[in-house]
Amino acid sequence: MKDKKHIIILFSIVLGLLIIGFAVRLFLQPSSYGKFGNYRWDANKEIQMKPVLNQNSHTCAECHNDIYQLHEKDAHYNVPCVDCHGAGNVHVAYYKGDSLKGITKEQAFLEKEYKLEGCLYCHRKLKARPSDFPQINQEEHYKFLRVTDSKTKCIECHSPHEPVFLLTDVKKSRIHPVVYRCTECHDKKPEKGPKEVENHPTIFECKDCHSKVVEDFNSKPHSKYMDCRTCHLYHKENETTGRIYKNGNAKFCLLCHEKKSFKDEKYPPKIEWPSHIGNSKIIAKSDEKICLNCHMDKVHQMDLKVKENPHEVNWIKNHKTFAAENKAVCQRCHTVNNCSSCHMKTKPASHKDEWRKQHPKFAANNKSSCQTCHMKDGCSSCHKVEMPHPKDFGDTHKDVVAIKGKTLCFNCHKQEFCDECH
Amino acid sequence: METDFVFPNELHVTWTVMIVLYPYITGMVAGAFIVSSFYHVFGMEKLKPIARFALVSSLAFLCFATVPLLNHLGSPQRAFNIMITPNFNSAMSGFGFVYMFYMVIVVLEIWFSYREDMINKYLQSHGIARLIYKVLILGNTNVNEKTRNFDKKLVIFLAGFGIPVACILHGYVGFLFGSIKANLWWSTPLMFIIFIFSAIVSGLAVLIFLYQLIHWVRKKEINQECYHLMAKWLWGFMIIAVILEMMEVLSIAYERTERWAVLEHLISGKLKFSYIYMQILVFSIGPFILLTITSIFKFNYKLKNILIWISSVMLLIQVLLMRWNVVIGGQLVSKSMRGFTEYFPGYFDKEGLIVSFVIVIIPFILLRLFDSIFPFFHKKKIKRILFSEYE
Amino acid sequence: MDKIERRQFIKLGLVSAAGVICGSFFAFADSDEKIDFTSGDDLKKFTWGFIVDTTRCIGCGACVRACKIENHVPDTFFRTWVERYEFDKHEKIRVDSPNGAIESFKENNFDESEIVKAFFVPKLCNHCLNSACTQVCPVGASYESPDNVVLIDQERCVGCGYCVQACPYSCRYIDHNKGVADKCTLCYHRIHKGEAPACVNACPRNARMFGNLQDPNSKIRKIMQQRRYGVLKPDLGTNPKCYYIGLDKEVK
Repeated sequence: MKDKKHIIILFSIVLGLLIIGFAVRLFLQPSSYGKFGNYRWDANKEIQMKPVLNQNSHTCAECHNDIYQLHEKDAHYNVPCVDCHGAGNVHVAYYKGDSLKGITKEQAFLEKEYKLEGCLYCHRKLKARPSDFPQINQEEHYKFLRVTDSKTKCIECHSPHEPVFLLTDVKKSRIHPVVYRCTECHDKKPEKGPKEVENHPTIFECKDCHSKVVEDFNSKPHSKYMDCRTCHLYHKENETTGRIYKNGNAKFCLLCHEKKSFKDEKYPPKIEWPSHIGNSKIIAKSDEKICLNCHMDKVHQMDLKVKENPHEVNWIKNHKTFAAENKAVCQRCHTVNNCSSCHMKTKPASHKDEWRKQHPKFAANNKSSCQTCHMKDGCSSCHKVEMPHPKDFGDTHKDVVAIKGKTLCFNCHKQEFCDECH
Repeated sequence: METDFVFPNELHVTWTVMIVLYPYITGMVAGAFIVSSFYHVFGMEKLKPIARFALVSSLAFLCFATVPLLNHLGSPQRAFNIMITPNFNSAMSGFGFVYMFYMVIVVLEIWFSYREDMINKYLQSHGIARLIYKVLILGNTNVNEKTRNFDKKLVIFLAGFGIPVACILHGYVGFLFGSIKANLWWSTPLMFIIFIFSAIVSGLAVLIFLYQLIHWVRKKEINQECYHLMAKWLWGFMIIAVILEMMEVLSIAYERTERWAVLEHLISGKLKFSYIYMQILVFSIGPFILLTITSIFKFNYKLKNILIWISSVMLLIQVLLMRWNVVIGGQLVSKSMRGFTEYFPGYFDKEGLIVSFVIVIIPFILLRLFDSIFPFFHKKKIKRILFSEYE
Repeated sequence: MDKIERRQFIKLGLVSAAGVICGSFFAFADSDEKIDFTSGDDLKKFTWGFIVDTTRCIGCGACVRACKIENHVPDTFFRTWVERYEFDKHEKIRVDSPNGAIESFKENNFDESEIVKAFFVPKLCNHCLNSACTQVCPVGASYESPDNVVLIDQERCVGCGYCVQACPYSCRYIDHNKGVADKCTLCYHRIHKGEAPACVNACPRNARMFGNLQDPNSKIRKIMQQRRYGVLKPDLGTNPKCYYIGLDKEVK
């Protein structure tokens, strides 16, 4: 035993160290370790407690609801606020008076504008992007629009919250069979059309269903520079269907036709806005389809469904000068006989022999109708006297008869009528 | 390659040259220990002269095995987490325990091997040295026949028990690499075996290298039988190790599974110099030829010794290159199977070349230090009070 | 019937009626199904899955930017990124991901007329059900939460990098500033507050979706019943929970 003493001492030391080691280990082990697995359970809570930085668009809408509503209706509805404006947590915390303290107003400021490159992050033309996704080659796009300054920002034309000025809510756009542009398959627009080539896959072309409109469009100036989809924004959803927007918003037309410092002055024809309709009271400014009301003849036939009389109150009196210069505009509505629809050269059919006797009843209820022709003095053009007679005419007719004579009365009344009183 | 693409996170190589050094050092630890055990357990008497030396070198390298790891860890201050909250599903989790366990075995074995010498020194020294030795021998100076027997038996037991532990200590690294299914170059069941055999090669090589070098420096004679036996073993193990390495690559090449398309480009591209030219042609075929000559033919022993020594140096380099090609090579291939990334450790970086050099050199310096405490070759004629077997 | 008996009968009737009414308050009362997200058992009712629709992605990189900001992702590392695949007429492929697509893509790789097929594939952590990364973490820092989200306990991680090597999808990285491993957490700090992960929130094309796979009425389950999808590297057995609609053979 004595001979093994050194061995026993040694191994006791080793064992002792081992036990101490285990004890230390137990002591150092975190309390929540092993609760649900080989990890420290408290870590889960710690990770959950981290602050949220990128804000939800609904949070932005709580204060900026007007922008949000506008944004929801147009093509960027799916683009969250954070994509352009950044995370926004400091901004929200500051303005909500929330948890974060010590924020200055400068720190809470959110950049409104995203640099040019920002729009191109999504909209730069790349082959890898789906063909129906709106994408541009900046050079070509500016060339097409005759933008002369290459440093022009996208937002000079496209409002970021309302990039294409849709008139209908984008989510309510119509489902439409898929329509292709030639360049979605071909590198360049081919010379021949699809029906002229053998074995070309049958595709829907706009004219297959909308033949009249397309025919009309092809006869009008816009057809030289654009196709249907330039204005009728089409968005492909899958291989067979997509959604299409009718369009017609004046702001959309202005994308090409508004005079801007960075654009070519002459081409396409440009106007100053809103002074173009400025002082003229003839056009209701709230009408979003304002351009088409007058200029439909440059685009194509369409049913604008103008329900109300677009003319202002004294149009009948004031339209002379306008009509003389803009006859074609009148013809937009007054299609059949244009001016003659009002300015009649022949008597209307109702004015037959018996009209003299029959007209009092009609005239009493439809005075304005008489006035379309009998414009100047209305009834007085025939009746040299105010018609119908005023209430006190019984007392005042004396002076009228004195000035104008009895024959005026005899146009309608007989001698017996006067004798009834006199 | 059709296209050159690496995943964005792969631009940085995670396991640097530190992780190349770690298996290199533990390889020498395991290899040296196993050589020592050849004598103690398997009774190869011819290896007696280097048995204790092998043991002490194993310890010297072991002390520095964790240095590259600690240097590489992102949070080395938490290194003990591996023993406080180990996740035993992980191949790496056993590291802390195995390392400690192995350290205990080696220290114990050395203690028992050197006990008599330490007692001798204790009895001869004065002052502070005496105190140190007293602590080392635990105050027990009992050296009779029986205790010596017990000591011997314990040494044999520890040596035998330590072999599998040493294998695990180094083999787990191989297993770790081989079990990473995500890596195209590493994933193979053979990796564990390759690492162990490669470790034995490096262990033998470092012993041969140091044994001869020390005796050249000290102008002493080496034990020729021991030396030549080691050389023969080195030749044998080297053949097995290289064959295993080659077979592994050959089987992937022959099977032509999906990963071969990119590994082909790895071998003929980024790894052409370090793998094909250096590791295989120069540092595998070279030593093979030299060792074949020295093992089969008889000629001037001085020349033989030189050739053996050169082979050992070359094999040391080969093993290092093998570690490099495995660790770094595997990370150069992108998991996208489409491209390669780049890696250069840098000179003065925290995990750069100069630090690597220092880490490799220090164990040798430590070994020199150990020599004064646990002399492995009796350079001085010690005034022996007690009869010692180790002559 | 005797008067007393009648009285008793009526009494009994009234009492039982009262009892039934009172009892029904408990029987039919709405059990308040509030989920406590700090309770592991409640979390087990969720299994968060993710869908990536590669047919819808336009490669704008909004997700990458939002994630960087939300999670303080260090430079040159990515929790999520977008890859682009382009095929030319001769079946040559080019794949790229310039800086993870954080600034989108600047130009086509081949000549525009040469490209016959091209698409984007956003990538992120697949939150595997049998993840290799949680298996190999030596210190129990990488784990799967009760609601099957793979997370990292950054207080315990030692930064050994084993998990980075083990992930077949290259989703993980070592954050050099913190010295620990890091990866997509499925915005764990957001999803329990009713918000979507930052990348899902930022995507303008609904190319990313996430939801509870255990809820049969969730949007994600509905899409999985309607569309065809694949997962990355199914042969490795990681059982990922990120499903890719329109996954091409060339996407690894």
